[in-house]
Amino acid sequence: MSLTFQASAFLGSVTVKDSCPLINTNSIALVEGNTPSCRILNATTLAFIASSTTLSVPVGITMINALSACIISNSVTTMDLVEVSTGFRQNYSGGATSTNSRTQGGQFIAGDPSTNVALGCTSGNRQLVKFNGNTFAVSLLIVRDNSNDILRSIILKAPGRWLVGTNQGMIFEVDQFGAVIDLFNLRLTTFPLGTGDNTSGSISIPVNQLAYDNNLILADVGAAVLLIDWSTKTILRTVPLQSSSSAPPTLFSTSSSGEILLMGLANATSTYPIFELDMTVAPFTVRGMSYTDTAASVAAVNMNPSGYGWYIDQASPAKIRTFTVSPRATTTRTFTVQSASSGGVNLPARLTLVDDTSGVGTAFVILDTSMQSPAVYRVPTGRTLIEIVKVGLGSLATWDVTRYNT
Amino acid sequence: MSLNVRGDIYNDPTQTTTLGACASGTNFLIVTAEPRIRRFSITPTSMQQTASSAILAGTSPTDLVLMAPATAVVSYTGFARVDLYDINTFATTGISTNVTTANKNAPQQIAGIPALGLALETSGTGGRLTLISLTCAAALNPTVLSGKLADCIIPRLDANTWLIGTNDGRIIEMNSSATALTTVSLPSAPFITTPTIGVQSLAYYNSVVLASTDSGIMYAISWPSGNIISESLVSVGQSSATTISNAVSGVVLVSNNGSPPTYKGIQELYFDNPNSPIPGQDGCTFWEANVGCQVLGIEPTAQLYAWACSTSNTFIPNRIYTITSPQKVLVSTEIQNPIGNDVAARIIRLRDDNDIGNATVEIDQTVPPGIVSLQCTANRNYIELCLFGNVVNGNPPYTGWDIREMQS
Repeated sequence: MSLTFQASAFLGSVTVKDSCPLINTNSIALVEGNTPSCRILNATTLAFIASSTTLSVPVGITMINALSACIISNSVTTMDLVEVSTGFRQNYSGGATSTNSRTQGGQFIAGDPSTNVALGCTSGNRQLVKFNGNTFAVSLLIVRDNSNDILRSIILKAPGRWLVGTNQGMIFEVDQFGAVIDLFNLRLTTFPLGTGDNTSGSISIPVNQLAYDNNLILADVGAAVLLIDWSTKTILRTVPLQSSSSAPPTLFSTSSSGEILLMGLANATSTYPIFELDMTVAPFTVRGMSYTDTAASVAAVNMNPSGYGWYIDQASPAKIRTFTVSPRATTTRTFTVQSASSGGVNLPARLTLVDDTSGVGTAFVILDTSMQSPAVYRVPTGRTLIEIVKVGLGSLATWDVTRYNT
Repeated sequence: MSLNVRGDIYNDPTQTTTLGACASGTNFLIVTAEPRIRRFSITPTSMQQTASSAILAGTSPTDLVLMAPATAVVSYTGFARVDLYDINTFATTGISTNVTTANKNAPQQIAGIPALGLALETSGTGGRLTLISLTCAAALNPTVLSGKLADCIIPRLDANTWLIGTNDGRIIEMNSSATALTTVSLPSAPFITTPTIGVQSLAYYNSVVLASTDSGIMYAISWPSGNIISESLVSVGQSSATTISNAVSGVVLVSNNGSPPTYKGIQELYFDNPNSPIPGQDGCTFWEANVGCQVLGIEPTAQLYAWACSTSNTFIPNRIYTITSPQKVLVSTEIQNPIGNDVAARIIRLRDDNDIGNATVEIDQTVPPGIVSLQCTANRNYIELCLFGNVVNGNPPYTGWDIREMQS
């Protein structure tokens, strides 16, 4: 097991809405709605470092650089910027009146420290709110797509790039100006929610939660969690993690080294576990877990790159628990498939990675995907892999097989 | 996708929910909350009721299984009794002596071994089980179960024994004399508070036990060593049971009776390779309503249908699916290098159903020179990779490879 409980602390009579890791320090920033306030905690000792009041009905918090956290509200048109070492707060106007069709679960706002910009979801059709930490300006953006979806979840994919999920099954990749770089419409795929037993006509596929690592996306769409290859927009796996709770049924942390922490939002038993999932190596197997001590709903789950994870419940008083997380040793590998006869043109291909470390009788598939060359995926280190590449279909398909150590 | 809707069956006239179901050939039997037991004929071209019989009111049926080739048995949580039905004539035999009520309203509360004419029922009384023959019942009080409850029971048909999931996180294999043969405790660590783990549902095939727990994990366990092969996430924050159907050639259906936020999902999984870290996904389908599902099953004699029954009395109570055969077949292979010269090789067969993303190693073994027949699941797609060269016991160095796609 790689998930180990460290400490817990009561946070008082607060209703925590969201949390995020600070940058370059082992600390946690959270917002709560009772007071309402922003609080900074040391992740190791759980001691308060700073706090401040904040705007009413806060629902999301993100870091836009190492010094400042940006807070979004579900009721006022302003946004807050909080200096995390002192708790100094500054309010900026120009936003939207409500953030989202949901009110809990996080991923309402995502910051990009490389550009000092945060983008947040609003209740308007395709509407994002942008906080520019360079000019301290708040503005509204319209995602330039012809749908009328409401943006429901947002995460940072890479510097200058965000992934946005909508209430109707769209996933956009956008830049800080709202330009659509890439998109995937789940409604138009062979996703079985739309083509299986469903005979009721129009259906909703709310993209509630997202996680990303090296071309792979995990997306909670209410009835299921999907594993998607972003390079080819291929749904690789559909797992119905049904829950008795209201949406979103699962809460994802941000990904770190290809892993996320996951909990059910509403937990029925007092020991219901927190899970550690590996997105890229045999996804949906439990890499680590820990039974907990709460039956209350969960307000926030997150982790930082230093290997500290936590979750905060919605009990009264609220409580935070921290864990150390030891991700699998991994590296990234670029897979290139080119046509020898067409001057090195990059090709789409099927890539299957088989772990052959333990020899005959024990081989197992760790990744099976549809890729667009060149594509980068995370692979475990210290393993022996068989790489199977298929280009084309049917009798015209060509294959390549290599075996190597990572 | 190999789960295709064949049709729906309503429990008219009262549309009560289905609490248990079993099948033998084209005979499909259900017990409902009305309460009533019904028999249907399920063929590729028709689904029709062929018999129906009322059950004593207030008995609260909870499960229905075959305990002999022509005998089904119904268990109850509201009445200390079981009823045996001749599935051809619907003649009934009630047994109440030495019978208690079943443990709870859930699947797998009673299991049958048709070859022995026996059934084993859970009990709401701690430490106790009820063994039922075609004429009488007897209390079993296995020491290993002392003070604990059996949460679920399935038969291990290849050994004529019973697999029992308990309310303290154990899986026990027991014979009909109440002798415990194997006991495996599921891991309860790490934890903040020590958990009490309930084993909610079981399936068995080819020395592998699948076990779902109330913590949302489905374990694949090498049996009888007890080594954990894999831990898969099957539900989150769940207050209700994840149900695994009976296994037919390593294929099971998995769902649960919690009401999801949107659509109910049913997975078709296979776990016939004990070295695979995650069960392969053969199919996945969704219902169009927010209802639970706790009664699932696959007809075991190649009639190619399965069923899933909802916990709602307004949504379709019984949905029948046409499935791809889960039966095993032999498919030959031969490795030559160069052409005309048979060589030994290592064969890795990847089962390749349900599109990219679900390839799973089903076979990984060495083969001698010449034509060799290897087991496959019928009518499935495979990628067969062979590695050959200086093969010593199948291990590298390999100097060559070949690959093909095939359908079994």
